[in-house]
Amino acid sequence: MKYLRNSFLLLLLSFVGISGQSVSEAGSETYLKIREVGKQLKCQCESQCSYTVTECNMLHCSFRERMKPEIKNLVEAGIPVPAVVEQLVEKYGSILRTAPAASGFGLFGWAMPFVAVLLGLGAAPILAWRWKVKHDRRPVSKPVRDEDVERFRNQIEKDIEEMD
Amino acid sequence: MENLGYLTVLLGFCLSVYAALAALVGKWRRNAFLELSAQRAVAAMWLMVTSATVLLLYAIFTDDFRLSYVSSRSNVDLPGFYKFAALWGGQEGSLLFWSWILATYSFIAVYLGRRAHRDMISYVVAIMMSVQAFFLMLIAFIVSPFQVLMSGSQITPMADGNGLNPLLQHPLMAIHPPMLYLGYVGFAVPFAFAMASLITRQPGDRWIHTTRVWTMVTWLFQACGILLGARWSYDVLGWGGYWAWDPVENASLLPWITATAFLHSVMMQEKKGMMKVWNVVLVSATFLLCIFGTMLTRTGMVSSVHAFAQSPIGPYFYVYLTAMTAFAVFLILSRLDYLKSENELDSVVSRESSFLFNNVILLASCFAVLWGTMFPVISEAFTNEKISVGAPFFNRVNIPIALVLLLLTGVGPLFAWRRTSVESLRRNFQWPAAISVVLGVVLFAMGITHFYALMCFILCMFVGITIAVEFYRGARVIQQKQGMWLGRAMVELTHRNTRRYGGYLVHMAVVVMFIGFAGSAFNQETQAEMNVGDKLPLGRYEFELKELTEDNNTNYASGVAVIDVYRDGEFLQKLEPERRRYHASGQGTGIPAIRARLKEDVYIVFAGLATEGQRPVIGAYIKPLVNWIWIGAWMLVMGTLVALIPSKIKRIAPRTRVIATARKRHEVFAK
Repeated sequence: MKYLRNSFLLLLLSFVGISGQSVSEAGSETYLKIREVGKQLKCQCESQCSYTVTECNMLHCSFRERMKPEIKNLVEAGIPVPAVVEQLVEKYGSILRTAPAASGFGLFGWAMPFVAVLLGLGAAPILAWRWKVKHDRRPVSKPVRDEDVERFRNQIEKDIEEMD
Repeated sequence: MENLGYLTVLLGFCLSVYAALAALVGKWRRNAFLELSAQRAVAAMWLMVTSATVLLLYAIFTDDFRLSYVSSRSNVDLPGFYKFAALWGGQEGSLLFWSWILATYSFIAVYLGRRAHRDMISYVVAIMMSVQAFFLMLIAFIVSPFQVLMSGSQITPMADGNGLNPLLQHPLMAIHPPMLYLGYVGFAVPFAFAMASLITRQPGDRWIHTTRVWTMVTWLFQACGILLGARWSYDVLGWGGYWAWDPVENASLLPWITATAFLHSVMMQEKKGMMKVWNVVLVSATFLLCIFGTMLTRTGMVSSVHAFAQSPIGPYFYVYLTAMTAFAVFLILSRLDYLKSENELDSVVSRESSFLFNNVILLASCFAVLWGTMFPVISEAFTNEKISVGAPFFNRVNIPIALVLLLLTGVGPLFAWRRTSVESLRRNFQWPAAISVVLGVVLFAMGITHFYALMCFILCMFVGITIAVEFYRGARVIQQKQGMWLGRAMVELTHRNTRRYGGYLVHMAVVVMFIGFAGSAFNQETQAEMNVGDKLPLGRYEFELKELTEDNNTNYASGVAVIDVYRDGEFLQKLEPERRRYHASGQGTGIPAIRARLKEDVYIVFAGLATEGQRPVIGAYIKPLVNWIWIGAWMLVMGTLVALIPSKIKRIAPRTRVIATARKRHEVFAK
């Protein structure tokens, strides 16, 4: 009875279109390599997700459906993971990369945040030092004279008397 | 009804334009009646925008499918709870919701500030109403939520709507967008106060205090919005993560980072009269980044799963953002004399310096996120080649920056204001540093060799100890003086200076969250097609598919995989990941099943059915320490709320007032 119910459910789900990806057996070397390649390729599915081919969980993701067998074929042909990634990038374009390439304009993309950090870290001590120098150059205030203290005291007493 | 909707939006727009103009003219002509009229127009505008929002909600709840917006975002069987979410589920409704929040903020800001900031409140009104006028202009003339479905000259209602996006049908989605909007929109208030203070060359510190409090409140909302979004992503999207570095996610992070920088550097202005230009720049940047983020989400500038559909509002946003940037830059440049620093640094080794470094690192992080988000656009403009920038880039760039920031979180409080002696540094640093290093050695010996994770744990220990010591030292003094027990003394200590110790609680929350982030270095995952009775191993765990069940209700049909979870052969729990297909939209979604524990989460996804053989595909993930992120989130909320409570002891009079009084006295005596 349970078997029949499960079979019916599977049929129902396939009818309503809840279909996922075809995967190899978990833990096998091919399976792990496919996932590794998928993690280095940006999914280009209809929903404009931000995930990799491996992570994308969108239903009916045509891109993932197209890529999986292709990755599987290349991996099963014994091509190493980095080479598979490069082949697919060459075929479909740089948009498939999850990060800019470490060459050409992509290198500029990688360098800029670190340049900003270094500039900031360089500028901060210089700024702090300049503030400090400015502080040190301030004229030292003259010592308070006894007659001034006396004058202030008299003024305070006068003010207090007036308040009373 | 749609006509009434149009009318209220239009009246709201007219009132906001009137309020802005009346406030400016009233100030210019010194006409108090006109200024008061502007303030009352703000209240009237709030009433109009509230009416428009209520009308749209009424249309959604009464299934008025004559309206294009209602028919595309709701349906008859959509549960009432999610009908609320339909208000912000689409471009037009969310813009109206944006405007309503801004109207509410404006109303509250004007009401609370009308006496305390009498001489600048008209400019606050003018600036806030100019922002409001822009958004109401979009709603009234470009993307109206009250547009009816027409066929020729006839109104043609649909029998039922398309329903709300299934991914949005989750309780967190009913809270996350409002929180985020409260943050995004709220940053307009500090911006308005900062600009008004520049225009009027405000003396004293009162305006900076108001700006700080508003920033802290909106910062909290923004933080809640971001963290709820992360939790939603984890609970709903089924990819096992909480942050994908999506452009829209990044857009919400950018103003939060600059606001964080402001909340630190504003202390320099309050205590020392320094970094005034920097603070105004940060407040302006935060607001402009909010507008930028809104533009990014709504104009299709970059591709994102979270973005609204492309719409014609892009050019308006470009013009508005440029105009506001030009206005802020002009105002800051023209007031540089007013923003001159009142003090300099006594010593390079001081709390002031640590704030400077903290700000630099926060800004570098903000730039890195902004750069990565916009790099595909920049790259395409220069090389004509489309590229993607995803998590590997952001992680590689931001993790080292974040670790430096974490270090500063611990180091900063150990420095004294003005000057720190070597002896004091040695005394403060030696024990936290030594214990952290010992922890690092122990963790390394236990096999934790992932560099960033190891560094993160060491730094978390260091920062945690420094914060704990700060609490202990202060509480110990109170305990000895007043004979309280230590716990009570800690509460008393916090109550005496809520801002400082609330801030430390937020720092502790950050530490706890970083422990959670570091756990992601040890994630494990697997996926397989399974038959009923099959077992899927992963680390110490094993997952057995026991059965598949089904359900069907008016909203969706679903399939559930019932899975027994074992650890080291011992049965732990039954988990039931689900896949749903919503009738109205025809769209499907997965609901992962999670066994959440402090040490690690077991996260199971019913990924779908294999195309060959129709076997269920089950994904299993082990997520170490992920719960610490959510605990840290709660701590962050608590810490910020503590910091917002007024301190029991008012420590000092505002700095500038003290200086001004002293100078005045001196002048009197000199005569």
